[in-house]
Amino acid sequence: MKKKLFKQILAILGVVTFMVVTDIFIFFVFTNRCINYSSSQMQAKSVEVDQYLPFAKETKIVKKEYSEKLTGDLPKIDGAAALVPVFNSFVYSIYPESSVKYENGDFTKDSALQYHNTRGAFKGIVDGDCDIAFCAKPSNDQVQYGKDKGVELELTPIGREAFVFIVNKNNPVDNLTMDQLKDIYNGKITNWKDVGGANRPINVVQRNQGSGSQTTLEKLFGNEIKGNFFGPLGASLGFSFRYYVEELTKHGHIKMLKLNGVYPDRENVQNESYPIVSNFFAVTRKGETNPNVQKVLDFVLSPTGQEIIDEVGYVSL
Amino acid sequence: MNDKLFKLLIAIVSIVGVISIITLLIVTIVLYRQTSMITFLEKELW
Repeated sequence: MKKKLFKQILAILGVVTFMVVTDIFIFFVFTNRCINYSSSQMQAKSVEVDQYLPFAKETKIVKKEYSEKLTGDLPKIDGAAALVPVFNSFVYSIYPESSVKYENGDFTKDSALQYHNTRGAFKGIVDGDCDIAFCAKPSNDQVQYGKDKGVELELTPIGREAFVFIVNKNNPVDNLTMDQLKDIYNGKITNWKDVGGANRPINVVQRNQGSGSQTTLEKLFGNEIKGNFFGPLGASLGFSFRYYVEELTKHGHIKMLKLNGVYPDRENVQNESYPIVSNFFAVTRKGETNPNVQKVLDFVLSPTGQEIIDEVGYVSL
Repeated sequence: MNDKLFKLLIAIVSIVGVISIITLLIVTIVLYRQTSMITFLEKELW
């Protein structure tokens, strides 16, 4: 009788232990990794916008004085998170201070400076809510969205940047070749040991459709990017733009990988030895009639505008 | 402990356990959709 009772208690304890261990495993392997370090603004907007306000007393933007300020119908400016420091610096140089209105953590509707990140900025250009978007190349869907609404987008290259691949700093892999990357994103290589790393599945992480970096990845490796079923139990491979990784997220827990043996620093972007260097653009509507739009583009491509791009940390044309 | 009570206890413990796992998975999925790629990489276990 006592033996039976002992077995029954043991069985109940066994079930309880199994459930608790499963919960702890899920928490530490998955849940804990999804809890952000960063502020609520960084989580919501991918960038601390209020640290880069053009006319604030304390701001991180590059301040370049320019002889001519815009007057009249001021083009509305918007763009990608990673380019906020750039286009906010442009605004400081050529827009009147009164044109930027920022209240309660956001720009007001009548402000000439807006921030809705890449997807919002492209939509804004097509819908007429903004006039110039500073972004990476648009996705096919974004181009199509414009066509459907009878809007053709004009892309003016304004600077260059490296597209980088990132891993946790403890991942022993420091370098990948373009062929290895292609095989990883096509699902042919699924374990880090096949590229000289630990025996762990490769977790191919992706971003939202339409984001600048996701579009760049798809243009490089196609739309059919294959994930690994066991990936979430392994080690992740992510991607972004160099400046965003280096300057806007300085936690130091991730590292950028060399590509074909070349590290994505500024010098290697400049001399184009890093294999994936892409332009970023000022996107406008074709046939734009507001003369101030062209004035902004002229400024961005002027020596002062290009100096801003360099001083922020990107690479000028 | 009679068999009925034992089965009842096992059933209760299992149901509570499964509910806790499902809740944790739902919370994880909600958090995952909000988290940035960089945070996800930074907190990877090595």
